[in-house]
Amino acid sequence: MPEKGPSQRPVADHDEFAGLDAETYQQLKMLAHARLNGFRADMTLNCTSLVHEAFLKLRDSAHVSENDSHFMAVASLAMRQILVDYVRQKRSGKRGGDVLHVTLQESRLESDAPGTDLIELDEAIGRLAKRDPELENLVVLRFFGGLTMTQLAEALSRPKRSVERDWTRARIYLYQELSQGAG
Amino acid sequence: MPAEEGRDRSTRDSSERWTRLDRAFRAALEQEAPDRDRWVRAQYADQPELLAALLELLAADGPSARAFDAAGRYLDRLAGVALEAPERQAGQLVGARIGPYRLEALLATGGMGAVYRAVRDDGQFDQQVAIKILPGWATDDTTVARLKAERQILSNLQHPAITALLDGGETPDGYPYLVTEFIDGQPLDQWLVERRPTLETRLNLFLRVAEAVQSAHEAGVVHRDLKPANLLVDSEGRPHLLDFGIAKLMAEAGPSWAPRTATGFTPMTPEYASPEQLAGESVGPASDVYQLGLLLYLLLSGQRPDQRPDAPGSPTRPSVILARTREAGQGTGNVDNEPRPQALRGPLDTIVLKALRSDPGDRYPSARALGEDLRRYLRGEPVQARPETPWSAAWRLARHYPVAAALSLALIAVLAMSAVGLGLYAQALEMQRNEAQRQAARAAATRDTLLDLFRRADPLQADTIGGRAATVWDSLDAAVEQARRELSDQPDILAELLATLSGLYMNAGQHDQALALMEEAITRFRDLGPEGADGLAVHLAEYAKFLGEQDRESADPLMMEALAAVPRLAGTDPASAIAILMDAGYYAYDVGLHEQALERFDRAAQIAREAGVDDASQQVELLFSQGNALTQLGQWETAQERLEAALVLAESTFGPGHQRLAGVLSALGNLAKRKGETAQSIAYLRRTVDILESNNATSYHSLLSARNNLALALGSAGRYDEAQRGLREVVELRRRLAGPEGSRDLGLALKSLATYLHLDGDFPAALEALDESEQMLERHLPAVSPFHALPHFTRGLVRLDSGSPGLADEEFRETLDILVPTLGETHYQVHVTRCMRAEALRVQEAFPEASSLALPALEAMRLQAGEDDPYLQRCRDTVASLKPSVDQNSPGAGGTRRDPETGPVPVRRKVGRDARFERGAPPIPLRPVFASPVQAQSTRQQHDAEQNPESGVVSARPWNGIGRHIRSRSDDEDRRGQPARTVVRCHAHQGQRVPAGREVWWNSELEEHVAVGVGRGLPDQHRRGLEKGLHLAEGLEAAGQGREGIPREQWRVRDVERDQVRVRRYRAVGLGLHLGLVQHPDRLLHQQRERRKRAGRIQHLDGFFHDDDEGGQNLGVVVDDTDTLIDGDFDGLGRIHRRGRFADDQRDLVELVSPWEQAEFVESRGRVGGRGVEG
Repeated sequence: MPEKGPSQRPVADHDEFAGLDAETYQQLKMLAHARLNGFRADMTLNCTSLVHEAFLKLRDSAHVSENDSHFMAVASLAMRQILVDYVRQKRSGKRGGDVLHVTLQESRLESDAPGTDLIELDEAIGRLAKRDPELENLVVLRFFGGLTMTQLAEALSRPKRSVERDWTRARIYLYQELSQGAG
Repeated sequence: MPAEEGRDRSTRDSSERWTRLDRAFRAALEQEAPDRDRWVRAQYADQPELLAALLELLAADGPSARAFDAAGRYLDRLAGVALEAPERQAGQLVGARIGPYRLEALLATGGMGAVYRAVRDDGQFDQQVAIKILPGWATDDTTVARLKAERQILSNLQHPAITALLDGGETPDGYPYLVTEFIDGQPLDQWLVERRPTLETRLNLFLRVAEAVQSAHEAGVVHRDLKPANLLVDSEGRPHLLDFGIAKLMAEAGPSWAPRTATGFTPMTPEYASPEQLAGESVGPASDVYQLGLLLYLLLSGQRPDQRPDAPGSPTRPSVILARTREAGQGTGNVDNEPRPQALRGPLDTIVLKALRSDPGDRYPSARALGEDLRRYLRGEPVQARPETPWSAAWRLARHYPVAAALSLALIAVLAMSAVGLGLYAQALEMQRNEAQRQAARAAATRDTLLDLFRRADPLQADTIGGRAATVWDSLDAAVEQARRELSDQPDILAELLATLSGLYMNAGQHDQALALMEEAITRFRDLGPEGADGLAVHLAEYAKFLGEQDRESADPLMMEALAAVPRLAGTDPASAIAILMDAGYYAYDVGLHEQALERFDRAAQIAREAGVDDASQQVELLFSQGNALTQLGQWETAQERLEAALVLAESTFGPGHQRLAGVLSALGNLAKRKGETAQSIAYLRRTVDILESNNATSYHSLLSARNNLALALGSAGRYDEAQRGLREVVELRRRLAGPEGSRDLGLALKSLATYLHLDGDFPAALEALDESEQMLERHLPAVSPFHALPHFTRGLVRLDSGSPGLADEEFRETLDILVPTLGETHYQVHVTRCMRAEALRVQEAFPEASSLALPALEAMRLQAGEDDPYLQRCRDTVASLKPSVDQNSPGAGGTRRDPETGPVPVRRKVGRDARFERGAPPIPLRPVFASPVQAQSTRQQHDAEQNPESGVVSARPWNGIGRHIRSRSDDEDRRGQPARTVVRCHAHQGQRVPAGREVWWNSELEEHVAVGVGRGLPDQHRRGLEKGLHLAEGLEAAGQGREGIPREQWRVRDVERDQVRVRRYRAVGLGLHLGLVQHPDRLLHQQRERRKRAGRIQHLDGFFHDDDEGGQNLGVVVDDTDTLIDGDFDGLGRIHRRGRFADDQRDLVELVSPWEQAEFVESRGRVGGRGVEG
């Protein structure tokens, strides 16, 4: 019986993120490690399943009691930060010409999509946020959190059609911004 | 600064432009996708710039979707890589060099990084080492410096069982690495499986590990991640702990995005994490002690504990796990060496569980202490660890979740009492966790939850537990002590908790403690000041309700105080207001003040309505309560409406088969029976039984009671076979429930059964049942009790009807020997028995004796019973048949002869000389033997009434709570110039047990008017009754109403078992009848009923309808100078509670009684009239 109320709005601002959900981070990270410990090595890793699994695990451990969407927001944001940080880290490491990263299969990460440069995308999302914070929220949930439209509609307590329109809007803005170069 | 201004403006312009564009874009997206282009062209044709931008945006729809799909796939891959890095990548480093080391083989990867076997190949040493590359990035100098410092500390650790740290640094791309000794060994779990070491080997290994951990602790290093994988055992069986302090090191080097908590980012292995780690709290040596406990658990049982570390309760004992494993046959192979479950039982189990307590403070204070206790065990000395009691377990929870503490304790109580408790327990634990998070703000909700649980978990199931519950109750004292100690800094929670514990004591039947505790809780609420006001009001109501059972006088002002909070609470906290009103309602109901009860229930319903409380469960309870009160008030139609509404609501809310329907259906069934709608009654009661049965009868008592009522209703409808079958089942269930000892209830059920067997003509079976019934009653009733007469009386009837008048006579004599001393000469049942005995004598042709018994008995009965009373009819038959035999000295003229064809069946006799047996005539309806009127009248009155049998009753109102008051005034008497007389006729309440020697009667023939206070029942109540009588008399005297002003020292109070108590010369009679009590299945406080049941005060009697709505009453009777009864609804203290019920002419009389009472009267009328909280 999730509580209905303001807390359902899954906007996790950064303060809340940093202050409240250290455990969420930890759980997410641990979850990823647990996978790699060989328990489920055969399973496909992806953001969505990670976020969902983290959610289930957290909910079981009673650290998450409020409601799903709030957690999804936090977890999606966590995923965004993890990935962007990772790319940044990788880049700074590269500059050092290190032994480890040589072994990385760069091709695995190549993509012709505008999202290839995650950092640029991240920055574009940041700019979009200034214009329309709700769109940022939606992009984070959709893109980093991997929520389906139905889940999104539920999490945002909005009609599915309206959420779909906003997602279209957001992705077109972002695409345009990225394909026109950082603007 | 024009430049800046310009930028501002341009930003503003761009922002405005964007806003315009965005608005148009939104509008465009509202259209169906294929129509969008056309639509924008039409819409924005006049704004070419905007239109161009829009078209551009719309054109990006397809590409952007494809791009994001691709980006999503990329992101998934990236997530995989990002989250697995660097462990997976590191595997590819074999052959690479780090510092002076060459990586030779990958040993392991995991959350803590990747471990390689390496050699130092700079030519200086030829040493095999292990190199661990940690995940995370030490990118800044501060972190690097801190890591170095940590490494320095770790390298100081010197213990044979601790793998030494040799070196460390950062890889060129910033990953920290550590170099340690290389240990050639197996992880602990693997070692256990392959070696199957003996218990002693295992324990010795563990002792070395504990020593190592202790030495690290002394050096200020906590391991934080003790687990089998970090404990290698070499080929010589020596343990080597890996990764000491690495966890902390990793925390220091955590990824930049990791939020810093007080403890930093702490990697851990969830399966082996301590509760404080899971909770994200600071981690110290105690965490290692916990993890040592896990290792020991594994060493002993071969497995990890089967529950999460932060789960409430202790893990399953290792010995149990081991036994289970062995049973499952998993321990096959070389098991000879392995520990046996028996060896673990006792000290070892206890030691492990002590190390595994979830509260660090409850564990061993150090690794050394743990080791020492283990050594004590090895030496055969007693260990220090003690098994955890349920209560300390509960308190462990309580400390963590103070708000929910009450809940956990309550749950233990529920568990102890109920077979279905487990489901609730699980459910509530879930709730408890949530509550713990919501903390104090939700304290009230927690409390409601637990009270609700209480209500739902029917404590009647205590029946099924027997002695077991007692041990739990015993530890309540300890729990209370602990509460006071541990929660002293949280007075609000402590107060709540004490109030809850008080309820547990109530359940346990320890009422003194319960009251004391509740008093303490109330004091604490008072001390809280305004903050505690709401809690105070609610608990005051509860307390007053408890207290009112024993001490109405003290309880009254408290209840009033609670009620005074209702208007305030109605606005702010309707739930509490309703709770108070419900308590207050039942408080009134308990003593038969049903009108007042109804007012309060109505008010509660009103508040619920106004507050928009949409709680169906509560609605059902409200309607049910109103229905009960209305039933008691004789407003049967309205009662029916309410109860039916409750039924409909309960059905639609809970479903047609839900247990919550049982109470309502039962009430409807009992109401229908009162209304004489037998078929309807049967239908309701049958459904009650069905529901209780299909719900697994959470309460045997309710079920048996319902079945009993159903059987009797069937009997009333003439369906004897079904009635008999039903009673048989009740008997069987009661027999099973009671065990070999039997029970009082079993005795009474047997008695009911015997009656039907008798009706059925199965005399041998009836006699057998009666024998057993007699035994049961002898065993389970007090030595002196009129109930012992029951089997004798019925046996007499059986003997009489089976043609053994001699034996019947004996039984009736026996019956009288029991009844007369306990009920008094004038009791209806005594007359009935005399008449039956007369019949037995007549059959034996002892006519003079028969006549001398029968005639006065019949006269007395005629006064006391209605014309349709079957016993009265039978007695008339006897007398009628005696007259000719007396006259003609000829036996057999009456109905004693048996019809040879029909055999001895119960018959109704016709009145008069022509009386004869009628075959197939309606049998004598069963009547509760002791539900016959408790007659209280004067001989003179009897005489008058006899002369004017039809006169007298001028007003009679049905009053089902306790009986019937008949105000009678004989016109004939008036004509003769004699004062009008009063007959006070108190029908004993259905289900009432008339206790030994405390018959209540009022004899108006006494020269003096009397004030009588009689308490019935237990000795203390008897005494209380006396006190009340005195009190009443005092009140009258103080009011100047003492008739002849006899000074107090001349009052005579006779407190004798079977005498009335007189305070002479005062004209009031107070009868304190503590009869029944409220039965309301959903009431928290219905443990009162339990208590009374235990005290033996409520019975299922012969054919008694076991009402769910037994009322209780303290009855006061006031008579005026002409002995006319003025209503009787006193509380025994001279206060008239049932105001507004008096007719106008009566009110004057009431006001005569005393100014004191008058004041009460006026005040109460004011309240009824709209003043005060109930208006």
